[in-house]
Amino acid sequence: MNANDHVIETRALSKRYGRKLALDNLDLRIPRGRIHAIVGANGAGKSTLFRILLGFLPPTAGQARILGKDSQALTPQDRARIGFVNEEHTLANWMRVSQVTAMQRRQYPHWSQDAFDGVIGHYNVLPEQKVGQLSRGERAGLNLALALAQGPELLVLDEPTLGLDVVAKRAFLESLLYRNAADDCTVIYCSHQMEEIERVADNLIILERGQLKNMSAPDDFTARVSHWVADVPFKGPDPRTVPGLLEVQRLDGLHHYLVLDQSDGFERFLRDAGARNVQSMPVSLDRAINAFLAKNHATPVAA
Amino acid sequence: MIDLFKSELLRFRLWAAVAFAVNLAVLSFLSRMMDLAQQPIFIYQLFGMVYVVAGALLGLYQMGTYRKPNQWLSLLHRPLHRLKIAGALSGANAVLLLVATALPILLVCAYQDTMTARVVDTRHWLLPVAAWWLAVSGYLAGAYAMVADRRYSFAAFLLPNLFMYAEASGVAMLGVQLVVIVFLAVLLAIAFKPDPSSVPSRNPLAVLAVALPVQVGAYFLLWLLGFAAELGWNVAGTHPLNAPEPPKGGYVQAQRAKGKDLLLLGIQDSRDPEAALWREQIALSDVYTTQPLRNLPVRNSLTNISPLEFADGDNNLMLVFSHDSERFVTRGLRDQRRIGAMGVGAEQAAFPAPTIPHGAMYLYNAHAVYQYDSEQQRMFERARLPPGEVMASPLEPAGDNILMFSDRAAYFFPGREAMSSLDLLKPLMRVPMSGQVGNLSRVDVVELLDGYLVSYTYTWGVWSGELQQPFQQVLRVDGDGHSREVTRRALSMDLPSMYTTRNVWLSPVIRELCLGAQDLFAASDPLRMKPQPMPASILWLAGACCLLSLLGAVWLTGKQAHSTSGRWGWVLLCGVIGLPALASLWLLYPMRERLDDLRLAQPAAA
Amino acid sequence: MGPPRRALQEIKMKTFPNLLGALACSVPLWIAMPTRADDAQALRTAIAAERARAPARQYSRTAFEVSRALQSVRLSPDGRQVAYLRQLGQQRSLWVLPTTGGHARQLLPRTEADELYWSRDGRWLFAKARRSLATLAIEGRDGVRIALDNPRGMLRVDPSQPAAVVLRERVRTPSGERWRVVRRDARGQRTPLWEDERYIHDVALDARGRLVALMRFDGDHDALYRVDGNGRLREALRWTTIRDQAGLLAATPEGDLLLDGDVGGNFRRVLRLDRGNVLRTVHADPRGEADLDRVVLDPATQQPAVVSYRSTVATTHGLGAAQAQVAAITRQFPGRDIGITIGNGPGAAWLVSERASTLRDARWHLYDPRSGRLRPILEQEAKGSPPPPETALARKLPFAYRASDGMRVHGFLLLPPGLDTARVPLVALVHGGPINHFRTDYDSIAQLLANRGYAVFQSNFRGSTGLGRDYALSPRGDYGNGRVQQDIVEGVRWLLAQGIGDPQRVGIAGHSFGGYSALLGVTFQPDLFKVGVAGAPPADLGWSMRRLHEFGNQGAGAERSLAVTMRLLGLDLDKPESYAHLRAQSPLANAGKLRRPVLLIAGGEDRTVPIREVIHYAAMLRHLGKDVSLYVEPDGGHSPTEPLPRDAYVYLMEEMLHRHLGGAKPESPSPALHAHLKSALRIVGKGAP
Repeated sequence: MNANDHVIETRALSKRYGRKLALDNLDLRIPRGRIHAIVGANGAGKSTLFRILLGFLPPTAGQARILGKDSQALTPQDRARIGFVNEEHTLANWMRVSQVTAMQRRQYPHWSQDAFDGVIGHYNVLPEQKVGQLSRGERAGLNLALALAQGPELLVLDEPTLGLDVVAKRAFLESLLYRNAADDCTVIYCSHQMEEIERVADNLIILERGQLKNMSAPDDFTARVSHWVADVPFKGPDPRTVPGLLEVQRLDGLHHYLVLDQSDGFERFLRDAGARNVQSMPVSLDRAINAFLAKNHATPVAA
Repeated sequence: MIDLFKSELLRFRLWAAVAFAVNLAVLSFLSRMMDLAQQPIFIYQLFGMVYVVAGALLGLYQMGTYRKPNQWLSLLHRPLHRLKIAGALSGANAVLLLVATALPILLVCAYQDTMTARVVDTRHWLLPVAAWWLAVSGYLAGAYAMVADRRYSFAAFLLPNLFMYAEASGVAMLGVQLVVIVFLAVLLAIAFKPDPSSVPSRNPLAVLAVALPVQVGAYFLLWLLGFAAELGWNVAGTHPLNAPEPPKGGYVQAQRAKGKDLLLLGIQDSRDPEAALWREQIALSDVYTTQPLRNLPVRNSLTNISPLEFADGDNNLMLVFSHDSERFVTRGLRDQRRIGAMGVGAEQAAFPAPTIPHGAMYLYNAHAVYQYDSEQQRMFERARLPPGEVMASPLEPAGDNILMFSDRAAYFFPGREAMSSLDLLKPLMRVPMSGQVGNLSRVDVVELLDGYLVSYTYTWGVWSGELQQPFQQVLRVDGDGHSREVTRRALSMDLPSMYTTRNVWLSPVIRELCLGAQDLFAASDPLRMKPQPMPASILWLAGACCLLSLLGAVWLTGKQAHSTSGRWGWVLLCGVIGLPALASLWLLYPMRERLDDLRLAQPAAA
Repeated sequence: MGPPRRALQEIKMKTFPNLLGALACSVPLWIAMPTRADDAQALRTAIAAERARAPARQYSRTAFEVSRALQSVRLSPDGRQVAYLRQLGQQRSLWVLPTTGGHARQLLPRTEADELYWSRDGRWLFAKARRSLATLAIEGRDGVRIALDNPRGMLRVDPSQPAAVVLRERVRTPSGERWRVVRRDARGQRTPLWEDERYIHDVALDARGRLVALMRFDGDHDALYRVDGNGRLREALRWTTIRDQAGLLAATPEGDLLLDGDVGGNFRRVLRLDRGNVLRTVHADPRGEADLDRVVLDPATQQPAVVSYRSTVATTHGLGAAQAQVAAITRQFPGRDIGITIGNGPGAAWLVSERASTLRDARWHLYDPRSGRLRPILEQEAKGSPPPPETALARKLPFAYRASDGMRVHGFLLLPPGLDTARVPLVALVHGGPINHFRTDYDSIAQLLANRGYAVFQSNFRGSTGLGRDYALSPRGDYGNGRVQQDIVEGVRWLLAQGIGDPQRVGIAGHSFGGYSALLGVTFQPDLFKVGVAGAPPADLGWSMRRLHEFGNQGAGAERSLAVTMRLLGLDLDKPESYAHLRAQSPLANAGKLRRPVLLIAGGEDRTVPIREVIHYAAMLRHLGKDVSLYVEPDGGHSPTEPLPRDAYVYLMEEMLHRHLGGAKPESPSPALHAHLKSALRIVGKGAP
């Protein structure tokens, strides 16, 4: 496989903070194009991963490449190809919008004024406004506009809507999707907002404890998780014996099981456990991911 | 780059404006009250410190805001070389500091030059530059301290401290400042990268540059621990120097003793037939104690040891020495109008060196002593040193006669002539000095019926380990100036030699480096002495420390991530430099990040 | 930093005028002695009179200090006003009192001046401080300040001008000095009169203000020159001076010069030099034993009008027209020392000063020449601390005795009133110099000792001044334990033989040369002197003279030469053999012989007798285990001037004499004095409290 086909490629990437492993032997290859969502609980290693990928942290072991370059040796030209938007939307508060824009315009060789105008058009941002006076949503929009106008090959959006209200969130997503950003670049979208992921993501990557847990289309992931309702007398089977168990709940005398990668054979298991009535239901992406991330024991699962 | 530069200018422009205004207001106010070109050195030092601290605070604040992870990422993750970014930020701040520090001084300088009769020499026009560079060095130190790994980065603040100790003066001092600025700029350039905490691995020079201030810092810290030990002795009440009576026969006793007691100590073991009578005479006489000068005014130095000016109230004259014209410039004391200039004698000759008032009667420079006669409004040369000698103490009364010291000898001048004439005095006698003036801490003189007893006490530098054999010498000088040694008394050092010389055995190399830095670009100073060689025991101790440090480095580098050449380079460095290098090694490199032990620990953690 | 010149001047001031200074306490006075003093019988009569007086109680030490409340009392030439300085604490003010009556007017509330001069027209005052001369208009507020380059820069009031003075200026050059005589008028206008490379002592001006004569120091002698119209000098007289310079009094319209000096004779007197350079005596001491002390000019004629003699018995005589009036005045003050200043014109008031050995502070009177009436003035102003009453003070009895070589030697005797003279302890006081003399005036130390019960012998041994040139030059170098010391010893023995003083209780005290003599006394005459008190004593006079000549402040000066004076006295500084005997006979070389307790008093900054000389001697005595006390005033000069050191001086002397001669016990020291002594008493003698 040509390295260029992967915007991000890590091999056995590990990062240790004291006694904690932030990245654990991570092998991740993200192909070029489309929007990739990276999901993980806090501390799953997403920020560490990005810092290593952008050369701001050295790995403890393994390699990381971004756009085919060693992430520890990125040149300014390489950086021009990578857009990065963080959750704080750090911009120089003391500058006017027009000044910030002018600065970026001069720094980025592939600056697209159209792209900038297109995005900023979604916001009521005036050029003479000071950045420090913008609302959080407006800052996010400006930041996105700046990032997209750079014409990056890879755009990393790290929790871009964190702290935004519903309206601002929607505006952000719309401005992102309106541009058809993924037509021109690969987008990595980190978020805890499942409805956003559902809307934008073509690929769902789940990190947990520094390990890759899933990489597939969101629908495929949803399909892996199934919801079973069974009328099991007494306490039901020992949860430890339940295959692929993500979550079990007892509601109105019925046992609700969320399980991973179980086919019809699971019904048989339930019935063998004495279930009188067994029903299978689809689950939403939101529910599936939450259950996946909430399970508190490690189950070896092949990607 | 220019955008970032402008952006940074924009960011702090208000601060700079306020600092400019405050600085200008303070300087203008002071300038109304006094002549800022003629202040004692500590005033300039005070202002210098304020500028350094202001610069440092700016650096710390600015980089402190950028050093938050997301800020740092968005600052550095852009299609600009990291050094351009660093240059834009520090360049902008240098300009702001120029406005805040140099410009007000320049304005006050210009005001003083054009609107007042005060003296403004070329050297004064360099003061704005010096102030600016002080602020910039503070800024760079602050910026580096914030950007680089804080386990060691604050060692950078040691560098501006050099200005307090540097011997250079005038333009040479600007050179020292520039060296410090360049060095700090290199440090900042090394650290200014996406991952500033990592030590550069490929460039050994860069490693040395980063390590140097850390090592010097560790060296000073270890040295300061000595004072903590002294504090401990004090608390425990066992400090040898804090007893009500200092140890007998020691240098502290010699330094603290009244002149009378010191002379008595000096001849206590003398078998001279006259000694018994001398003891009686000393007990009854006034003893004239002189401490030699440690500094002389230097031409074109940026500051003054003390103001080079005095007033002649009878003639309504203010006289200020001008380095440029090498004469005293005169102005009206009350009307502040410029009058003229005054040189030496009727021909108004230039003074050979900057000349400073001394006591109520005399003025001196490195070569001669002068007297101003207000009746004739003229300067008279009163005493002159032979070529090759420099002033160590200008004329001071010693009974009937007047005493002056050069770096080589004592001169006695006739008191009557000194009082009754304005002629160049001929010395009655010259008594050569057997020790080094740089080690001389005091001279105690008692008049005898015919001549003098003179005690030279050489203890200067014991505390800093520069003097290893302190001693007191008592001379009998007869009326014709013939002198003979009565006694020579070795003084003990009071504190363990290991303590006073710790600045050597902790790291001979760093000590040499510090001494070298102190003397950087400086003209040689005849009033200072080269340190005396260390006793063998101290050199052995230093060697042992280096060996210890080398072994420590072998062990420590094994636990850190180093390339093979890097590792053995460090081992070698620790062997040469000693414990401070080992300390820097420990601070600079984190322990190697390993995964194997963690893997084993993992199940337990799960 | 202070102006450097001021510091220089201050140091010069301290060291300048103390030439072999006498024990410092003096205001002139005389005592009436109806008989010739060389008559032992006359002395016995006087002693009996003293014996018959009521004994005095003991007064405090400070009561004997002369009051400084009133200084420089001066009558204006027109006789209309009296100007004076008043001192209150540290503050001195300048006042003018109209002689016609009415209140005094304050002219300056604060001044540094120590001497006042009237302008000839009486409309200006010149107030001289150490380094400046202020002119003050009596009416109005005009005036200028003129810098003086030394305290003796004022020569005289210019008699030719309405309001001007003649000043001497020193011009310092890198190679030496030059001397200028200038006129400064009351507005400060400066007119050069003369410039010379030699020191000008005095000048005479004619009525048109031209300089017609000058007195100059010519290196080894003084000379009087006439100055002709072209500025050329013609020497008219030359002479040598021991101590007091001759003075030019006036130039007459005929071209004669009036002067006072001892030129061409033994005694100092008023002289007239006519155009043919013939010298005539105008007035000399009618008693034939004293030098002229003071001469006063008539402001109308600028001729000498009043002369006074004060070496043995104070007398004042009028000359010419003033003769009768002066006699009338002195008749009204029998036994008093009278000073007179004449006013200009028949109606103008005269100023009369009244002094006596028993009168601590002078009294002042105005005399009306027309009515012959006297009116006391300034009585309130003169009041300082209360003086001991005259009834309690000892009269100074002048006497003379034959020394063993037949020479008639003079002295004064003070006896404690009402005591048995044979049983009182006797103290010989020796004056300093030795070129100086005890005068007839009030003397605080002698009076204090008399009050404490001591008979006090003030010896005007041969070599003293005031008694003629021959007397002053008669020692012929035999200082040391020689002829001069013998005069003192023989004076004491003569008094003892007259039944004065207990032979077992005799002490000797003095300052400077007097201190040296005291040391000689206790070293060489221990059977006679049981105790010695020596202030600023040269322990080896030969060494001291040589040092003074080579390094001291009195060597080759512009205005005099110590070497010349010493040669006159028989000691040639260039010939060590001429003073080798001084070394051999010095107290220092004979320290081992000392058997009597001795108190040494010295100033740490003494430029005349260096402190090291005293300390060397004291150290030697200590080294030899002798009984010595040493007091050093830390910043003191040759003589103490500040109140505390003066009090210390007197207390220590009193205490020493009390301990060893048994006079009255001194009042115990004040806390301030106690503290001062604690630090300044460097050696405490055996048995001292």
